[in-house]
Amino acid sequence: MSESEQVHRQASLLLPWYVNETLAEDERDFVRAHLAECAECRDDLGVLQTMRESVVAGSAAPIVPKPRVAELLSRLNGASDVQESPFVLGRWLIAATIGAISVALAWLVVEVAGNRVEPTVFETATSMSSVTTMDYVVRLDFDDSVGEADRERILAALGARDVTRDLQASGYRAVITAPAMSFAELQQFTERVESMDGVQAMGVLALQLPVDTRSRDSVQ
Amino acid sequence: MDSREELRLIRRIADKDRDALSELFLGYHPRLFKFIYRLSDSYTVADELVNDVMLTIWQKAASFRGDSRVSTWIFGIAYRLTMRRVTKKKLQLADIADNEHLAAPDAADLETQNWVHRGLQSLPPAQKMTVILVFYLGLTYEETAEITECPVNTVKTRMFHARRKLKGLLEASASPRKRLDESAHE
Repeated sequence: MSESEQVHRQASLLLPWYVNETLAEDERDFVRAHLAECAECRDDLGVLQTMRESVVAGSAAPIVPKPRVAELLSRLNGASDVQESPFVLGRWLIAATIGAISVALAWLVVEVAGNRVEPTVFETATSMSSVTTMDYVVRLDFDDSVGEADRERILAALGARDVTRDLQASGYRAVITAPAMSFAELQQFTERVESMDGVQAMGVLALQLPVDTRSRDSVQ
Repeated sequence: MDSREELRLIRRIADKDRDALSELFLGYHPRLFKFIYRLSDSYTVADELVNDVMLTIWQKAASFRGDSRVSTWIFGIAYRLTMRRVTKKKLQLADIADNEHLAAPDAADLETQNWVHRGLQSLPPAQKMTVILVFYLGLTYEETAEITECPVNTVKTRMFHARRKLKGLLEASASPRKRLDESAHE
C-alpha cells in the first residue's frame, strides 16, 4: 500500500468522528487536509452527515413514556447485589483451581499408572500443534429477500461444507475452513461476512482443530 | 446534571440510597429510552429495558471506579442489555403495535430519513449499534470501543462497512428516481 493510499485509508476511517466533532485537533487537521484533495472522501462526508442528521432527528422519534419509578423501587426489594467481594471471588477461584488440579491428577494416576496410554504415543498425538487452519462451525442467517440460488452462491463463496438448514430458525449451519485466527481477527472475519450483500448475521458456534486420523489410529 | 453530581449520585446508590436512584432515573429516563428504542426498534423493549438498566446500576454501583464518565458507563450497560436482547430475540423491525407510539415525522426530511432508517435496519446489529453510538450519543471512537468491548480498529471498520452499505442503498434508491426525473423532462 502506497503512502497516499495509507493516508486515504486512515482519513477515511476517521471521517465519522470528524462528522460528530470528537476528533483530537491534530486528527481533525489531518482529515481536513485530506478532504481538500480527495473527492471520494468528500462524497463520503456528505453521506455521513446525512446519516448523522437522520439518526439525531429520527424520522420515527418515539413519544417517551412516563418513567415508572414506583415499579423500579419495588423491584429493588427482590434484587440482590451481584458484586461479590474480591476475597470471596478469590476463594472461589482457589477452590476451582484446586478442583481442576485434583481431577487432572486423578486422571493421570488412572491412565498413566494403569499403562493404558503410552507416553510416546501421547507425545505423537500432541505434536500436531503446528496447525495453520481451523474448522469453524458457523451459523449463517440470510436476509429474507435472498433466494435459494444466491444463498448457495454465498455459501460456496465462503467455501462452506457440511451445510445443514435449520428450518425452525431459518438459518444455516456449516463448516468453514480458514486460517487460525485471534479473537479480534475472528470478529473482523465475522464482520466481513456480515457485510456481504444478503447476509444478515453470522455466528461461530464451535471451533475444531484438524484431526490427524493416522496418529489417532496409532493410539488405537 | 453535571458529571460531578452524577458521580455523587452513583456513590449514594452504592450505599443503597433509593432517593439517589430515583433522581438518576428521572434524569436519564428520556435519553435512555430513546437510545434503547433506536437500538432495538421496539417501544416495548425500550420501556422494559430502561428499568432493567437502572436495576443493574443499583446492583453494580459499588464496582464503578470512575475510570470513565458516568454516562458512558450507564449507556454501556444499556448497550449490553439491548444487544443481548436483540441478539436473542432477533428484533430487526419494530412490530406494528410499537408504531402507535411514534411522533409525527417531519415531512420535509422524511424521504432522506426513511432511506437512512431502512438502511440502518438492513445492517448487522453490531454495525447498526455502532452507528447509533457514534451519531446519536456522539461518542469518540475510544468510548465506542469501551462500550462495545471491542478494539478501536473494529469500531472504525464497523463504521466503514455501515457507511459503505448505506451509501450503496442511497445510490440504488437515487438511480430509479433520477431515471424518473429524466424521463419526465423528455
